[in-house]
This record gives sequence, C-alpha cells and structure tokens, in this order.
Amino acid sequence: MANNDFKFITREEKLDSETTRRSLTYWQDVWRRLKKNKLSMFGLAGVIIVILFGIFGPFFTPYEYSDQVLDYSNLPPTLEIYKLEDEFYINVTKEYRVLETTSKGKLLGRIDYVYKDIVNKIYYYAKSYELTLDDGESGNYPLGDTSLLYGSVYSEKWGIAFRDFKNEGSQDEVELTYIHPNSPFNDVLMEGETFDIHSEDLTLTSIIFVSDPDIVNPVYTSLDFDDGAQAIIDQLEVEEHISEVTFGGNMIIVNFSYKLMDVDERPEGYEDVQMTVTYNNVEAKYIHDKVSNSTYLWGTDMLGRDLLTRVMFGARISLTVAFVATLVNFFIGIFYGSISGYSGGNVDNYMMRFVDIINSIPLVLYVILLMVLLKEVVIDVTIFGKYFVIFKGGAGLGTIIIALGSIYWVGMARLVRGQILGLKEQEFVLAARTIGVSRMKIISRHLVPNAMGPIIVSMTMMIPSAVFTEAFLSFIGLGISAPKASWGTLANDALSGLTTYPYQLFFPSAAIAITMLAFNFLGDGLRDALDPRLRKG
Amino acid sequence: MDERKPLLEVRNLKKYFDKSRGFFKREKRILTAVDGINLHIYKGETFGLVGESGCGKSTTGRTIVKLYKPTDGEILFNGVDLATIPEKDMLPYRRKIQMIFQDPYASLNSRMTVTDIIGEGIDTHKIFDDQEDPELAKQEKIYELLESVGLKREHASRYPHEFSGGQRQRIGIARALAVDPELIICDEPISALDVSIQAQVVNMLEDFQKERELTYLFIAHDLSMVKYISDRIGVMYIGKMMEIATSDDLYDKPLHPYTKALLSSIPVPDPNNPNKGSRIVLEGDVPSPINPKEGCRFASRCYYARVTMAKENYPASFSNALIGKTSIKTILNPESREIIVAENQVITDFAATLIDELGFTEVLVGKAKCFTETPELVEVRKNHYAACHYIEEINKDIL
Repeated sequence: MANNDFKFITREEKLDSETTRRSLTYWQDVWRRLKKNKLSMFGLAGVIIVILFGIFGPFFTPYEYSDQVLDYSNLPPTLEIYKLEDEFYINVTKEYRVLETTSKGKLLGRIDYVYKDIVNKIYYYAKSYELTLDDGESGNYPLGDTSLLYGSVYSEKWGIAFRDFKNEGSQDEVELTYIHPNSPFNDVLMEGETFDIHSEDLTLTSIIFVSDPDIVNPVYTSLDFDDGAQAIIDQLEVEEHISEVTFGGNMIIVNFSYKLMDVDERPEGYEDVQMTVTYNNVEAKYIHDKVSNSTYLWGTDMLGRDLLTRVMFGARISLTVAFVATLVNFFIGIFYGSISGYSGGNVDNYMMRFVDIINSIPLVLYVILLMVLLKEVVIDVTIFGKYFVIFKGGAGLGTIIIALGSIYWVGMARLVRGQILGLKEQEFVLAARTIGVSRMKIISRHLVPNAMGPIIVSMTMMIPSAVFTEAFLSFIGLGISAPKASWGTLANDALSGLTTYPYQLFFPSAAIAITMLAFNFLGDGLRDALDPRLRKG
Repeated sequence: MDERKPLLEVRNLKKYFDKSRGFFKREKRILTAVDGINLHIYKGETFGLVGESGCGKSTTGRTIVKLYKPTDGEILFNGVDLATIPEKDMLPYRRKIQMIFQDPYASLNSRMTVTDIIGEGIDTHKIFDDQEDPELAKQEKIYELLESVGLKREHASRYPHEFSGGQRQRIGIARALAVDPELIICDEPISALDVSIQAQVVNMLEDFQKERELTYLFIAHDLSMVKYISDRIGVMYIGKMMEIATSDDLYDKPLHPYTKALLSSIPVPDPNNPNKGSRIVLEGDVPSPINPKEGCRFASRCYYARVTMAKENYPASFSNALIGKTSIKTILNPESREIIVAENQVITDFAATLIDELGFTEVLVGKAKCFTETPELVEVRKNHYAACHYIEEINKDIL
C-alpha cells in the first residue's frame, strides 16, 4: 500500500466520528445502577409488597382485626381432619374442641361438649340430642352454642329449660336457656333471659333434670316450682317422669387417653395412636387428611381473631412508626450532626454533650414522662366540616412516634458528626471554602452527600430497630393497646404459646424479618448507587 | 527591596494550633506551624516555597487564603489586610485568591460532575448574573475552561473518578481559574503526579500565567521543579523562613546552612560531577514544632552551630561514653533531659561529667547564640534575605 493512499482528515470529520453517550442526571444514573443490582431490586420489591400488604391487604379479608370468635381460637393454618362419614369432617383442636369442617378445610361450626370425662380422658360431643318426653312425644333438638342440656333443668310442662341458678339472698335467678317450639312461652320469652325464681308470673309445676343417664352419674339439682316456693338445690332425685334423652349414634367420642400413655402401656394395635375419634361406633385412629384452613388462612390467635388480618393491620402500625421515626431521625440527625461536626471546637463539644445527656435518659423513663406530659394533649382540626384528630396523647401510636423521633436521632447525629469531622478536612471541602461557598452549601452539597453511604445503612438498620422498640414499648403497656396490633405485639402475644402454636409467632416475625431484609438489601444497593465512584460503564 | 508594589505581602504571619492535653488542657502544647514569617509576592511572578515535610509550607498557603484563621500577623493583599476581615466579608477576596491542591483524588468532590465542580465558583460569585442567560454563559465558560486545560467538552458531565490523576489536576486548575483570580496558591500541585504529567501541568500553569497575568505562590518540595518555575524562592524550616532569594541566586549562592544542605541533596545526574560526594547530610530528625525552644530552629541540626564531635577534641572519657552508646544519634534531641549550651571550648569536662556520672544520654554542645536568640530575616545581599546569626562568618568566601 502506498503512502499516498492515506490522507489526513479534517478536524470536523474527526469530531464527527466521536460518539458520546447522552449524559444522565444524577438521579437517572442512580436509578439505572440500582436497577442493575438484582439484590436491591429484590429488596425494593419486598418493601413495596410489604407496604401494599399493609395498606390494601385489610380490604381483602372479610374480618376486622378486632373480630373475636372464641370457638375458633388458636386455630392453626393447617387443619388435621377426621372423616366421620361422607361430607362430615371434624377437626379436634389442641384444646379438644371439635369443629365441623368441609373436606377443603372450611370451618362449618363447633360441635359442643355433652360431657367431659376428665378422669378417663374421654370427651363426648354431639350436634343434637333426641328427647323423649313422658307423654311419648319425642324430637331431635340441636345443641346450640350453649348446651341446652349440660347443667340445665328442663320443664316438661312449659317446654323451657333453665340453668345458672344463683341463690344469693333473695336474688334467686335462673337463666332461660331453651324454649321448646311448642312451649306456651314461645312468643313471650327469649332465650338468655333471666328470671327471679320467685316470679309470680311464672308458676312452674315441675322441673326435671335432663341428661344422658347412660354416661352421667347425675349430680344435678332438681327444682320444683309448684307453688312458687323456694328452689331446692339438692342431689338429684330422679323424677318419676324422666324424659329420655339420647345422643345415640350422633355422639362423637374423642379418646385422647393414649396420648398420655407410654407406648408400652398402650393397648395392642394402638401403639402409634395419639387419639381416637368414634362416631356411629366406627373408630378412627388416624387423621383422614391435612388441609389448609380456608376460613382463616394464617390461623387465629388466642381470642379467635384472624391472624392474617392482624398481621396486615400490624404492618400499618409498625411501618408507620418505623417510617416516621426514621425520617424524623434522618432530618434531625443530619441537621444536628452536620452542624456540630462542621463547626467543631466548643460548639461541637457542647452539642455533643447535649446528645450525651439525651442519650443517658432511659427510653422507658422518657416515654413514661412523655406520656404523662402529653396525656391531655389532643390536636384536632376541622376541614370542610369534617372532624379529624391528628394527635391524641397518652399511650398510643402518636406518643410512640414522638418518643422514638425525639430520642433516636442522637445515634444518627453522632454518626453524621463523625463522618463530617473526617470529611471536612478533605481538600475538596477546602477548595469549596477557598471559592467562598457558604457553610450551609458546603454541608448540603459536599459533606452530606459524601456521608450518605453510612447514613443510609444506618437508616435501614433503624427501621427494624424502631419496629422492635415499638414492640417493646407496646409489650410493657406504653404503646399500642389491644385490640390494635403491631407486629411486635403480635410476636409478643404469641411468645407464651410458642411450643403449642408456633405459627402465631411465625407470621409476624416472618413479616418483620422480610421487611428488615428488604430494607437492608435496598439500603445496600442505594448506598452503592448513590456513590458515583462505584459507577461502571 | 524592589520598587515594584507587591500584590501580596505577608508580615509576621503566625499560625499556632492548640494541641494541649489532659484534663482541662493542663498540659499546654502549642504547635507553631507558622511562626512569624514575612514574604512578599509581586504581581505576575511566581514565588516558590520549599522546605521539608511538616515545615509549615501548606499551612502558610492555607492561612493566606484564610482556610485557617491566622493567630497573628498581616496578610496584605493589594494593601488590604485579609487577616482582619471577618469571614462574611471575605467573598470578594475569595474570588481574587484561589488555590490548587496537592491530591487530585481528594480535591474533587466525587459526588459532583465536572460541570458542578467548575461551576461552583461561578454560581457562588454570581459571575454571569448580569447576562441574559446565566446558565448558558456558565456552560460556555465551563467548556472554554475545559478546553483550555486540555480536556474535552463532553467531559463536562462526567464524574471525577472517570479521570486520571493528571486530568483531575487539570479540572482542579480549571476550577481555580473559573472565577478569574489574580493570585493562585499552588499547594504542591504536581507532587502527586506522574513525572511526564508534571511537566505538562507546570507548562500549562506557566502558559496561564502569561495569558492571564496570574501570580503564583508555588509550594513544593521538588527543588528542581521549583527552580524551574519560580522567580523567587523562600526556604522554610519548622515554621520559620530561613532564606528568600531569587531563584538563580538561591541555587547558585545559597547563604543559609539549611539551604546549603537542602540544595546539596539534589541528585546530580552526572557521575563525573566534581561536587559528587560533597553532599551535606543532616543528622537527626526534624525537631517537633510543638513548644519550640528559643533560638534558631535549625540550630539543633546545624553543622555550623553545633560543634563537631571529633574524638580528638574531647577527653577520652567523653568520647568513650559516646562511642559506647550506639543508640545516640546526634547531639541534640529536644526530648532529652537537658540541653547544655556553651561556646565551643567550654564544655568538655562538664559534658563528660554529665554523661559519665549523671547518666545523660545526649549533651548538646554548640554556639550559644544559635540556641538562645532567634535570628531575624535580614537582607544580606540585594533581594537576598537570610535568617542566621553567623551568615557572614559562614559565607566569608561569597560575601
């Protein structure tokens, strides 16, 4: 190739071939690099999910966080069901309550006790009983929530049953527990009413005890109201005209005596059996199936409140406390710490001693004092005729946020001060001072952005710490009070039943752990993304 | 003294740092970083400031731009004493005096783009606020500055970490130039750079000096580079100015013992150099600038002030004592238990007694005046100042 095959290009041509990337703004660049960091995107997604979970979750559950159904207390998310007959499944809870379910794990209702044989560890349950009266009339009657028969007396003549005799002075009262459909009182009396047994309106000729003579050695009281005279509470003397009550094949017999036996004590064929369920003389030794609880997806707590709803509701409170406290700390801490660090000398000395003083007050004492101080304070506004309470003193969310916000910043202030002390002697700060940049601008443009890494890490650490502190304060009774719940209180409530109901602790603590992890991942990624020195490509 | 009017005149400038220790600072420790120096810089010239590490060169530079509040003295800039001006009224002068820093990696804020870094001065001093479109004018100025320091327009949106050390230093220079200063204090601007880059940067600084009539205070410890760039040079030692002279004068005919030692340490790239081997080696370490003693700062290491400890000059017992203690480095150590000051001949027996019987490890022997009186900087020859009591005695052959 000859030399003259080459020719010089002009400067314009040279510049033409140069391609430059469109320059991004600082925040565009941060976002671009954050997106590249998979772990932090995972964290960001986690944070968003947790926030959405807290805000919108409660709208999608049919329960309120405070709804109690005591019959359904302490239900796990997975039910062990026994099949008694086609389309008739039961679950025996840890407290030996029997719940009727579907094969899909939907709860249908509770089947009540008929009798507890505590000595032999055999409990009897029935959905209904068959009652035969003296005149030969008989019928099947359902057992309600409160058992008609258990501990009640039944007036054959009037077709009503009573229980809960109280014999204190002249206030002898009975509670009406059952009205037979044919009772003459059917239209005038209500179940659950109480009556003075001396009432003149109600002359009872005879009251008999009704129970299953097969299984009960009756010790109940018989009353005779013939002339409105006093009730006699005494050993039962079985009346001539006993009504026959039978449960027959309807009875569900749960025998959990095996559970308490050593394996070698158990009868043959029952070595690995914990509990048997007998219905219609058919004995089931093993559970039929394990199904997820489709009524309460995450189970219930000790008062039969839906755990899912409570964890969702707890997210609102915990995250509110965490975010507000952290943001307040962030701003106060940076403001205070940077002024202290940048000023140096005596100003720094006095400001840091003030921090020491605040830091030396125990949090609990501080919160108690704050609560006393804020007890009467109510801040409210009326906007467009609507009344809002912004803040209400005493134990509660507002006080916790104020307490955490006003005491947590000292850590942040110390951290920022330390960072600023190190940075302010750097040459780029000296350069800015030589140019004549004002103090506030040096702090906000040079010092704080360069200290952002540790600040963000500390903030992400502060969020779980605030959640825990709130839990602690709620636990000792200074924070959120029942029935409201935060993750911390949920975890604390579950702690006592940890070995029996571990899921009650699992869900709130999993929520805390996921939130913490998500914030840490996000914080880690943010720290890197905010630092242009780590920019690649 | 020159009849030209100096742009900057520093009179008796002092900068002390309080390093006191203990409860309520009972133990008083004053670090005299700069202890009463005088210098003046004429418009358009380059004044080099040299000295060992820790001698207060950088502190002097930083005190002149009032990054440090001067303890005492005057900083006359165009006749205005900057030392007494409160910080809030400094802004107009900040535009006049700029600084270029040593470490190109630490002197640029890594969170800001080049545009922000260079534009900061323009924003602060509102230089283009009278223009129709200040933002555009600022951007144009930044491009112009970038090109003049040898960078490209498209570098404007980048961050400092994307540049090499030399490029970063150019950005630092562009930042200083952005506010059109009159005086630039160059605080070892090339010592962190590669040798090939050093020359580029220095030449660039010279070009700017011609173009923009800049005045430089050039702080460095690289003696040959200082000689190359400076019109006049000041030599500092532990907070004191030892000698000021024109560049050629200082290098050809150094007067002060310290300057002589300093210059003799410049390696000469010539194996046949007749002066080879005539290097003056200073013994001992640089004394601490904390609570310095009276007298000439250099006296403790000065081969002239100190009597040479030749064996034959001293009684056998004294020299034996010294020989026996191999850890003894030299005569003076400010941390030692006692310093004895005496004229040459008087000491011998007394020193020997101290060492033999009282267990002193080091005993100073020297010229009393050097240890008791601080020498003033005086004009020895025209435009040649030196601070030494015995300057004429030492330089009999030159003066």
